[in-house]
Amino acid sequence: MIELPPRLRVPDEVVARDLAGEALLVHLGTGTYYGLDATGTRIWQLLAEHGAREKVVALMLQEFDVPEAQLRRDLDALVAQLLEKGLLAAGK
Amino acid sequence: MNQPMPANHYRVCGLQLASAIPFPELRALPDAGGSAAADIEFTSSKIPAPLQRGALVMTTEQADGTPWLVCTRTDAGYRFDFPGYADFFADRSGRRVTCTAHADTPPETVRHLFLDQVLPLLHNLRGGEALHASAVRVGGGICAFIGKSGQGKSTLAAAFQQAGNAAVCDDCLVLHAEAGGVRAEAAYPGLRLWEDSRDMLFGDAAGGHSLVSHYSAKLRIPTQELPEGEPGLLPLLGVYSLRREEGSPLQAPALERLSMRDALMELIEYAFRLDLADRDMILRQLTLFERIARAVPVRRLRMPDAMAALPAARDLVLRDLDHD
Repeated sequence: MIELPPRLRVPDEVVARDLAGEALLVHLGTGTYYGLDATGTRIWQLLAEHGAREKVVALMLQEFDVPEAQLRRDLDALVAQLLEKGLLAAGK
Repeated sequence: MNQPMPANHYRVCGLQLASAIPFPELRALPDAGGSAAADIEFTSSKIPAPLQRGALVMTTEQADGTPWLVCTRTDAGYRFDFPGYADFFADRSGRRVTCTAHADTPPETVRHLFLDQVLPLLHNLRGGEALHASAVRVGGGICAFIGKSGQGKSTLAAAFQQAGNAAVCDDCLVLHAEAGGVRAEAAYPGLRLWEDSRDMLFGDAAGGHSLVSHYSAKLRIPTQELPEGEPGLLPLLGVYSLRREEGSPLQAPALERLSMRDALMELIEYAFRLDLADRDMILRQLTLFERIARAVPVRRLRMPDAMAALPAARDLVLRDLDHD
């Protein structure tokens, strides 16, 4: 597992469309697109707003009844995929 | 000096084409207004455009992995290279296209490569959107079938036509956003069918249709043999994504509703897109397809692997569109 950056940002070239609670992310520089389910969409919204993974974990634990270890696994897996596709980038 | 002037005028992809070679697949425009009025000028040359190192824009492969289409971009324009067959060069505006065909490539193959492979991508370069789709007339609108090659799009369109819903096109459906919604038209009217689909459509007496190209067994069905003539620009009523389920226990066609997100992803997957580095195009396409996903049904149509299922599939789609 690669080490994930603690802070993240949405690159300028990425746009998100919210379609009835599910998001589609599109990279305007490569045409890459990626669909998120409702939970993934909420994670995306929080990442876009706050940038810090730990902050997102804390807010998600308040909103969802989910074991923290499972949440961290799911969050890290999603972040790794979005980083790989250029739909997220390391923040400052 | 070896480029004859475009003297043949046609309407295709909603554009006016002036061509140095005749395209019997298209209906001629009687009062075209000369080459100056044309959106695209097509000429052929025995001398290929100068080779330049370009950025790779897209490639497609044949079933055995060998390159089918290699498209590159240079400062001068876009090159569409079909190795072993022909080379098309378009300027950056997509207005002037020159073809250099290999000596043993028959004229019908050159025309097919331009009409069915290059032109939809040039249309996208010029700011237009199109789906890789078969389409049929339903009432006063158009119903589209998308899906991977071999899923039965053309055959389903032929089944609709046999039952009275005119087939509009079998490969490229041009889309237009308008104030009242999204309208669609064939890139050009006509069908390309496998022989068994042709026989189903035209019966045992069918015959005499020419091959689309020398490398495929598909037959081109002339437009004059299709009823209702020019389909024109009509409202898009629905989009159905075909999944042929070989070896599945599925006994009858079945429709699956897609979420708006999945509908949008499905539309993007089957869109003609030339240059994925063109962010204006991607944003424009995203906006149009989101509009379609919100406005009309976009469904998955699961099909058993049997011709006998086609009438039931038609009934299912018509009921879904409230046209039964």
